[in-house]
Amino acid sequence: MRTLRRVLSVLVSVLLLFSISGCWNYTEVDDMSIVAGVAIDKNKADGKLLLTVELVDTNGGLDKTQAGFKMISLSGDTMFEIVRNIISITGKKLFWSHAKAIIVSEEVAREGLIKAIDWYSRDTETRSDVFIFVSGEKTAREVLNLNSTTQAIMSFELAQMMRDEKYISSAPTVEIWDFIDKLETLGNNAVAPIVNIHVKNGQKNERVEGTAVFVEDRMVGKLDGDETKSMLFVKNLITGGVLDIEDKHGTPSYSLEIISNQTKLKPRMAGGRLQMQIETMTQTGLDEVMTVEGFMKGETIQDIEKRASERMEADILAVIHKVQQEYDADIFAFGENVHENQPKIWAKVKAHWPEAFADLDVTVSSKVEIQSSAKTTRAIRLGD
Amino acid sequence: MSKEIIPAGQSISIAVLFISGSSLFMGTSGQSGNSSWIAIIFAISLAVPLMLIYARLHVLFPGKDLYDMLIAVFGAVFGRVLSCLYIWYALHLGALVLRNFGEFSKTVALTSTPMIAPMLMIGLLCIWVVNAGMEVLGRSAKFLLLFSFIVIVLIQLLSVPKFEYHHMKPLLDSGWGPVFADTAGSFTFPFAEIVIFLGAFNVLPAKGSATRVLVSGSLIAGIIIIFVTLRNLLVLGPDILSSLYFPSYVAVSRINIGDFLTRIEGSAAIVFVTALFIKVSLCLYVTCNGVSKVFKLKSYRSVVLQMGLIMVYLSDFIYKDIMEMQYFAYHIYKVYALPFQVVIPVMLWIAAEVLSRRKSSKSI
Repeated sequence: MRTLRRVLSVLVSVLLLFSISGCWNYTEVDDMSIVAGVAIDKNKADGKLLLTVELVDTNGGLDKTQAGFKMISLSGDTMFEIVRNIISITGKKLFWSHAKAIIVSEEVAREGLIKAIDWYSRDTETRSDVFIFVSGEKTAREVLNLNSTTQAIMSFELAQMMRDEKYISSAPTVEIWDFIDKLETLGNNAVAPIVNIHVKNGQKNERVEGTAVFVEDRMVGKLDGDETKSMLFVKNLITGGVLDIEDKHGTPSYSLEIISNQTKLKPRMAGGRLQMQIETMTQTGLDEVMTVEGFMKGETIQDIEKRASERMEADILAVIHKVQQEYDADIFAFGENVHENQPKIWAKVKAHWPEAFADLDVTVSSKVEIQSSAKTTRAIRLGD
Repeated sequence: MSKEIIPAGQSISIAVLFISGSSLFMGTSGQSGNSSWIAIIFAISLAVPLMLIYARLHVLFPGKDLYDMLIAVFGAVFGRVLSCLYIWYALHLGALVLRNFGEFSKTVALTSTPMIAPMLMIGLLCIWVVNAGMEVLGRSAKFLLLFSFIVIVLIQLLSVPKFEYHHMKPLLDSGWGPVFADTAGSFTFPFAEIVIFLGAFNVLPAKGSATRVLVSGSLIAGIIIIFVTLRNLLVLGPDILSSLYFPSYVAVSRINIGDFLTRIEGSAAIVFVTALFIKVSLCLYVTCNGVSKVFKLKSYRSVVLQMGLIMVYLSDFIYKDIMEMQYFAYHIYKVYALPFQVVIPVMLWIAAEVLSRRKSSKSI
């Protein structure tokens, strides 16, 4: 009897071992199509959404050093419908966790992005840390299609670019999660980076530069790379980049490398009007001197600092005025700042914030400090 | 059968995991946006006097559990009716918690696995541990608390880079009204749910201090909940926070340390499962204990399997979907739970005080 029980329990254990180990509904990696990124366009023919997915091709041979890619386009009424219908082309279910980029065409962005991104943030198979871009070209899929010329998975390249954006500061880095966060927050409008196709000497490359400005979920306008940098200064998101400064004759001759930046926003009432005081404090290093005269002769470090500060104040004011007058989109989160620091004033202006933002008084005071001059103490001297 | 006794340290562990269990992944009720942590502090300070009342009951009836007390104070019939109510409350609460876990796994972790499968697995585990006895539960709670504690602290530290402190401002953005509503919400769920523990007071040592167990248990759990709520708030911000079913899970999924340490939310979910296991087990034990007391069974062990399976099935059909669960947890529950958590215990306490005074004056 005891041996029978023992044999039975061993049998049961062995059976259980084989039947309950592993997942309920596992999928092997070769049964999935791994999505690297998507482009969302509007189909010209029928006005529906047109989705283009860039898939990582897992059937690489031994001689390949890099994974290949595949492109599939399909149109449909809703995002999820298209995503599922793509299975009828690939024969494999799409796997979304590794997707890195969403590119939307300007047309879709101008009509409203909610319909394109709600599925992405709601579904459980997708992750909300994917980067969002607005295409500067006619369609979004053109950008993804560049992979045939650059021979690399475009979405992963774009994601890499966003990671290194901190050294240029010419485009905002926006994950879809941040984007939705901005949509939901009152007194804060969303932005997204613009991706272009850069053509020089017949070479086509993708280039991320500039900002798409949104009001609610609709794109209303663009900022170029320099304006974007000023915008990032206001938002205190500058982590690096270069300031180019003219010498006293007006020719660009100094480069300042931004080491760190601290921006403070101070909302206050001045003469019955809401005023936003912006103070920036930038630490830089002098990293390039393009004149023979050098920076000690005729021009002191203080002169360069002063010129840089003035230039920055003017740039920041210009971009704020542009956004106030042309787009009326509070991309600088001034409203949120008023809300957080002056809740009483916010209660008064909340109802008509877009108008209040448009005629908000803004003052800027910038301070640029040069901390070092890199490796050399003076300009290159011509000895003859 | 020898009487089961578990030491104070283990009962504190049970209490901590019991209270913090659901809130670790459900979050607390969040109408007050960025002031919800104030509501939690209020809820804790409201809960402490209630804990003292519960603990006083243990002093009045050493070594007795809730059902013994009810029968002793309100008589054999009415006491049994009230006991039946508590049996229902414990069974229902256990089912709700199981369902939370079921919805959690269905929504985020195992999307195409039927909900009943993970719930049944946890349910069977709870049946097993309750059948093995409260001492086993106490020992596992002590170990699991240590483990959960390490994970919670680790995740707290890892999410610091994602903190955006400006989400805290302005203080009391929406005024005091929502804060008080949230206080009521957090008081009933999760703090005062510890009333279930009254049903297991027979395992506390007769001379031991229930005050220490309950008060320190709810304080430690309260601190954990405040930290978790603050983390969720600082990482997600009040606007997004209010739209999520499982804010902790999403907050943890935002962690990204150098593009290397990412996607750890799956591992963090282990804490939910351990805390939930203790919570369901205690509910199951209290249910079975109640049944055995009401029907004068020799041991509660004979009904564990049946009650456990009923609990699992109940949790399967108790709500239609996750929207209903959310609505019940944050809107109906605070009214529904109040009689069980406050009204009946306070009645019991007053009656017991009167009875004991009378008895002591007679004996003199």
